[in-house]
Amino acid sequence: MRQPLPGGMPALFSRSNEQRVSCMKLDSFLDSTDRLATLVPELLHLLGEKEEVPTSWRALLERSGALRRQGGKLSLVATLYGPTGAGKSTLFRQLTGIEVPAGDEIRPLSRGCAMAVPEQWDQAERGPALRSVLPGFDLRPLDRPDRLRQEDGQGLVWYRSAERLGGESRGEAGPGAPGLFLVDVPDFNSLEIANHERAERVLRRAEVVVFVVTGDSYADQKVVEELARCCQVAARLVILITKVASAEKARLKWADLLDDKLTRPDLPWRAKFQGKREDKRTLEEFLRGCPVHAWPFSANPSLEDLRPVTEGAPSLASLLLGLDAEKVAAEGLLQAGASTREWIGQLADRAEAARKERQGWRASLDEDLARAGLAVAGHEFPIGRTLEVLMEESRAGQNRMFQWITYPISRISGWLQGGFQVVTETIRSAISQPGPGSELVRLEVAERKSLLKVAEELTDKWRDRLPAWVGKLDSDRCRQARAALEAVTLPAPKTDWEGTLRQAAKEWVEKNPTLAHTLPTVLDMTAVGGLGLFVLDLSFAGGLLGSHVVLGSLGTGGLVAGGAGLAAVLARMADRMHFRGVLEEADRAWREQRGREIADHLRQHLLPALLGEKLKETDRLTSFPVEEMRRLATELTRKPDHE
Amino acid sequence: MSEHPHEAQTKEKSPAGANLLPWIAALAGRVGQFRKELLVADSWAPAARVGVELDRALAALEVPPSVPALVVMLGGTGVGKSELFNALIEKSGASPSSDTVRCHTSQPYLAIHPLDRAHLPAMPGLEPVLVEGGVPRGVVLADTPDVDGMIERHHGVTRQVLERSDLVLFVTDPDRRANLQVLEELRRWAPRKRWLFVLTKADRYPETIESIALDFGKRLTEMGFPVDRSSLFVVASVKPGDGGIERLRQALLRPGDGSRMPLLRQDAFLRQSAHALAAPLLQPFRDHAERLRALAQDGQSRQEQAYWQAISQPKAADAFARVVKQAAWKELGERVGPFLFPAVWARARMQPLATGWALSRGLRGGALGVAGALGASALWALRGLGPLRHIAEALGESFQDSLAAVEHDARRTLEDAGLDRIGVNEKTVKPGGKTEPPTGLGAALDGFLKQWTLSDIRPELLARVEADVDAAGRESARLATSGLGGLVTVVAGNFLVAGMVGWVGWRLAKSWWFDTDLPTSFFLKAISLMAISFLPGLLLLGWCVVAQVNPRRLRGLLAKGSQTLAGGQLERVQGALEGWFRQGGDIGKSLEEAQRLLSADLGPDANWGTSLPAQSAQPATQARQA
Repeated sequence: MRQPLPGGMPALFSRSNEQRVSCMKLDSFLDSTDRLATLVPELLHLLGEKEEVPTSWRALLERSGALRRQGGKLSLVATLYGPTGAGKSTLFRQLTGIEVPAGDEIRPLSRGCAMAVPEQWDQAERGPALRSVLPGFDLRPLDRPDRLRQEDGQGLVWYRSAERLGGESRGEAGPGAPGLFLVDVPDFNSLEIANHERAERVLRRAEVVVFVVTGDSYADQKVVEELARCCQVAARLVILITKVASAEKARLKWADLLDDKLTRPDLPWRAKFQGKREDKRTLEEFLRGCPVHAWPFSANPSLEDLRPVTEGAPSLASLLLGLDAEKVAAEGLLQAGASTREWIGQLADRAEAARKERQGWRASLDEDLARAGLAVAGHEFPIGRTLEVLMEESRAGQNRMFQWITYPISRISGWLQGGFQVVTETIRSAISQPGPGSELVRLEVAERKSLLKVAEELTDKWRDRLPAWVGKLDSDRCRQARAALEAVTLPAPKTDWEGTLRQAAKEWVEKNPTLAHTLPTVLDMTAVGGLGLFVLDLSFAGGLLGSHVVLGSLGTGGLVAGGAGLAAVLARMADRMHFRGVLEEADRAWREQRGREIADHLRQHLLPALLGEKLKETDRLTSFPVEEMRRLATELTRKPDHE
Repeated sequence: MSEHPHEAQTKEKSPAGANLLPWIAALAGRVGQFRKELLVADSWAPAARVGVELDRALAALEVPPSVPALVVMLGGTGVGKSELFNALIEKSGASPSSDTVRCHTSQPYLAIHPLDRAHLPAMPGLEPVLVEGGVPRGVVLADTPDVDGMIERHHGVTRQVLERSDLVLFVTDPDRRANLQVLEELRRWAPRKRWLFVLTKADRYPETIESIALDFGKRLTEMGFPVDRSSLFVVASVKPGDGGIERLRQALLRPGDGSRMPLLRQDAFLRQSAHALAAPLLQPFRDHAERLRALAQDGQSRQEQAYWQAISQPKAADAFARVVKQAAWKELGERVGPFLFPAVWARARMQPLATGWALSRGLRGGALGVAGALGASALWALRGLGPLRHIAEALGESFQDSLAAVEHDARRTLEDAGLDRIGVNEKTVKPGGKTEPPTGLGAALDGFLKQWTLSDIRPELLARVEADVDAAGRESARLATSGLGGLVTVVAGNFLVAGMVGWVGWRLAKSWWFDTDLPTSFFLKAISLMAISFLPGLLLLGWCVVAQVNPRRLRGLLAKGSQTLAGGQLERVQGALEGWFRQGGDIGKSLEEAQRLLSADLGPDANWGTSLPAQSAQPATQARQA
């Protein structure tokens, strides 16, 4: 929940003329951060990327959170950051006089973070103010040094006040004034992996980083990676090379890093340091501008030996104490924003690419479903209804006299039709064999069988060809999806297709009036017309109008060729009575309509159980405010206007 | 110490087999066979991993014995590997080092005895710099680039050299001994190599170096290494005449003898194979087998559920009851007592008897006979197989779907794990075995009719239905003849027939005794009365059977007799995984035992570095995350 800007906030950036900004602009910066804090995690989830979130993004959130909590009294956090055995704790002890475990006999030595706070900040009533400096951290007073070796697992910060820093007074830091908080963190590269997160957490918050590295580890892969990270997030960076023979050796080592290893075209480091900082300098340029100090090796290290590599430069303590807290804090915020902007831009690009890809994927699913629907519908021919319609149309064309003559036959047929299903069922169940004669089945039976088969085929196809971002369609999920599909009944077909059929039948009656007179009687006599929802199972019959029917194209194949049993009889009759065209129309209209209905059914009942989550994500990605995210990202780099 | 050149050449030609100790050769055979068997599961990660480890282990046996032992240094940048290399071979600057520039060494430096040069295998792409001298014959010392520096090519070079190493010198310094990246590299190679550990720059911390070494040793012990003074060395490379360097040189640069290297490489084979077949790598086999077992049981219970659902459908249940009644009559013969037995036997076999009689009439009796035989067959088909067909048909639609669904699930489960290639060509084994087919004319006819009418039904399904019908028949026959009603029926039925038999017998005996002739009418009357006397018993029995065989009670009738359907590929894969787990474990134990024996054979040379015990195949630096 965003907190409103406290009243003291405008004073924050109004101390110096250069940094004087309007409250409104700062408000807009923080609003952008808040909105992005909602959008970015959602987008990352939608993209399903396991990529680690950049430190600068998390730094932005930490620092803007601290800014809101601190109100007008902005404090500066500085951290001693470095690899194992670099001498961070020794330096902290020497700088602040606070007793912390240091030495060489145990590695890694520290597990917790030690923080030196300005005088009087370690009193109980300052607790809330102190927590606003490091929001989200668990802060506890440091009562004894071995606290820092405790396995707490959460990364506690132990604090104690230090009046002086490196022998120099903290100056005007009164109870109400902002000040410098120096934090010693554990290493980032020892086998105590929990340490890495503890260290990085403080790094995200700290505006000032003192990067402590030994003369032998300056070219370690992990060390240089962390150095790049510091260049991205720190407002100020100070390099301290420890355990070297002399300051000159430290200078040479630093030069080797800057002038050789970081600039060699055959190594990837060059590119890694070309990112832009808030002030438009590259990371490499920024690094070159950082003050470098050396602390030669000594059995009894002393701060007096710690000196800048460049002659005449200020000491480390003076450098830290001389920082303008508010200015640097503002820079820290802007730097985190600037480093984040590029990443958010890339994220937006990826979102757009993913959107296109997923829409394509969605379309391919629809195609698969349509094909599956046609495959199911293509296996059946609604013989009963087709003949009924044909009879109705023929009867409508008969004259009254003819109807009177044939009335007894149609009456008897009507009675028979009621019992016909019972009779056919009885005969089938007693003697039926697959093959000729048994292709006549109830619609729901035929469709259920085909539907499940097609659903299994679809599932297997999708399992094999799912894009990597969808993840794995494991057997449990497939099973659930099948159960979901089995649990619902396929809805009965709508009667729209009969319109086309009826039209074709009418045309046939007009063209063949004589045949149309006799057809109802023939059908009455054979009682075939009472089949209702029965269909010809073309997978058994081998196709009504040739085996290619199953494949979804009626064409002009021989009527008898592929037919068997009842299909063949019907095909022969259609040829003899010239209503083959009607059957073709019926077949086409049926397949189109029923195919669509089955595809919809699969879309509603198979797809959600199989890929529901990913489909929802795809929909959300389609409507995701990518442009807004881009706009907000630009807000992060827009320097607040000067008054 | 040095072997005859001709002998050496002969060994060169047959590097592997010729020098293997027979019992190790036998073990190598078992390991090779096991690896071959695992190939079928190569797409399953745990099996692939074991396979790769076994391949590596077997490769150790392929190195010719004349190839000198390769001792390789592994360590981070700036820990002093090159200085140590130079100090060990006592050639300053042999491997150039720098005190300002890191990642200085970019290619391997090999210190080699001049006579070993010819036996040094080629190292394509690595461009090693050879330094002659400083090492005895049979040992090559390699200085390598770092494995944690900014230049990733260096890491690859070192790994390639490590791949060929016989002994690894892990080098670190007090400041960087807890460096994760280097320790991770150590962890990766740990099970495959023998190790010596060196802590350099001792001169920097003269007062605390003992405690530092202790802390380092503790860390190595946490990783699973049995570290002691013979495998951990503290050195000051830049200090002339440093004791640590001297001790390391003594341990490392001993002149090799002809027999040591083959034995050490056989030891490497045993160690690496034992690691590959140790519990941590084999455990996934058992875990996965357990999972598959649970899935198979689930599939089985789903099949059962579907079967019962199908068989409980009214039509199928009626049909089932009908055939069960017939089966019950067959079983009743043994339970109804001697006097009712002939009638029950005839009742049970009435249909085959009628068919047989009609058939025999057909064979002799012309067109009418043939028609009669066909009629009888049709009757038999409709009354006997018709219901069976009903049952099978009831199982046909939804049940077949359920079976297919279970099969789909099983297939996909195996595909998910990459185990779908296992056991695809094996036939399904039906539990309970196959019963002897009955013989005789009736049975032949029965078989023919079945083939004709039920050919589209899956044989295992039909077998299950028939077995269930028999079981239900037995149970209903038992129930029909037990209890008060059954007892009364049997007693009364038998009493009536017995009385009739007694009366006829009495009349026959009397006529024989008094030598009188019985009229023909007596025989007609006797036969009729005998036949009639069977009827009450038969009717009562029929009533008892009908009372027991109720479509709603089928499940109760089958509770004891039903057998489950045969298992599928899931069970086969589960069996294969369990088999590999057991077999791998057995070979692993043999390998560990062999390793102990070989160590004893090697004598003091066996102390050439330390190695990770097989059971700690995955030293956990990650464990410290907690």
